[in-house]
Amino acid sequence: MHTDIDEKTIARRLNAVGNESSEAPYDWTEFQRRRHRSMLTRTIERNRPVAIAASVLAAVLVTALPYIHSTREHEHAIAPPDTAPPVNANTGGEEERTRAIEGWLAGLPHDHAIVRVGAHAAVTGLQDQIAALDDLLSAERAAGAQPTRLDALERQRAQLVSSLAQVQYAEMLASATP
Amino acid sequence: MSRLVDIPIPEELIQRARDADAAAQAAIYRALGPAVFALIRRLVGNRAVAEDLFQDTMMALFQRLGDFRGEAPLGAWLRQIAVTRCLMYLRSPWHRARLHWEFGDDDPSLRAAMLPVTPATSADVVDVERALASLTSVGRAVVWLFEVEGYSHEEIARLFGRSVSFSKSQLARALARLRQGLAPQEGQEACTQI
Repeated sequence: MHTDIDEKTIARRLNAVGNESSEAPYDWTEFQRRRHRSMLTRTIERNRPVAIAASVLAAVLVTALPYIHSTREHEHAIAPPDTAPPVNANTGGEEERTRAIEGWLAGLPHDHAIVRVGAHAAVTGLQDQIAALDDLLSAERAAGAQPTRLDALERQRAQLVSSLAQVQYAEMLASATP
Repeated sequence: MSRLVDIPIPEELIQRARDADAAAQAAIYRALGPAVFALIRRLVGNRAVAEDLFQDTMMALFQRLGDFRGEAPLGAWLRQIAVTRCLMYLRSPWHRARLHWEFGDDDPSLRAAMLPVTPATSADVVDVERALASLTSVGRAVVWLFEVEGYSHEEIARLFGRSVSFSKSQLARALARLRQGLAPQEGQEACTQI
């Protein structure tokens, strides 16, 4: 059983508690330390989106750099000579260039992590055309075809190989990009 | 301990603190810090949460000191910052989730584990601390703001974003509970007389 007390008494007792001595939870030095840490945390939080974007960009560059480097080396290797070569030499250069591209294509991994259906169809289509052209070239050589005819076929083959390399390179970049 | 609004801070000290004088800021911290922490602790109960809110409040004080126009005592201005932060915390979903997690069905006996806010210097203080700890966090905040800090029902309602009747009903319930907790029991008196 309780004896009732009025609101003024409660208020007086609450105020008495409010006037009790108290201390700050920590001193000025500790407050300063926490303030600096908090400001640092806020700065990091504020810059987090930029940091994430920079990390993603760095990851993409690191992933793509070997491929870009490799392609540039190949481009450098198959760059046309400064002076116009004779017809026979030009044909030889075309063959060399095609062999270089084919070597690069042969060095690619057979299975990409991600292969789009359209790109896959383009690659197989080009590969079929190159194979058909190889058969035709063999048949023409066996039949003793004229060199101009053979040169035309070689140039056509070189264009197909070049197209194949471009598609494969684009596909490789796409699969390497997160 | 002086009431926060009654602690005098010289204008010259405030001006130096505005100018990022570390010694002046330290002096203000030492003068106002204890009262600020006591108020925050009284409103939110939990010591760890109170420390976070205290740090936040004191940082806001030094960051926004340039906005202080001196129309009221610095303590009153700082009290408003502290109370606003405390009530934001009490209204937050995080606080409600923590209460549910810690106290489940809101058992007052469990909530009493949060005392004491101030070191007990008398049996009466212990009784009042225990009675306060038996209140809900909102009820404790309302009764403290009204009875000790001198806020009106209109001001409390505005702070909570609620109606005046909300403040009045919370106060009435809290006072009823405090009456129950603070009233001397007849059986107890008989025992102590023997």
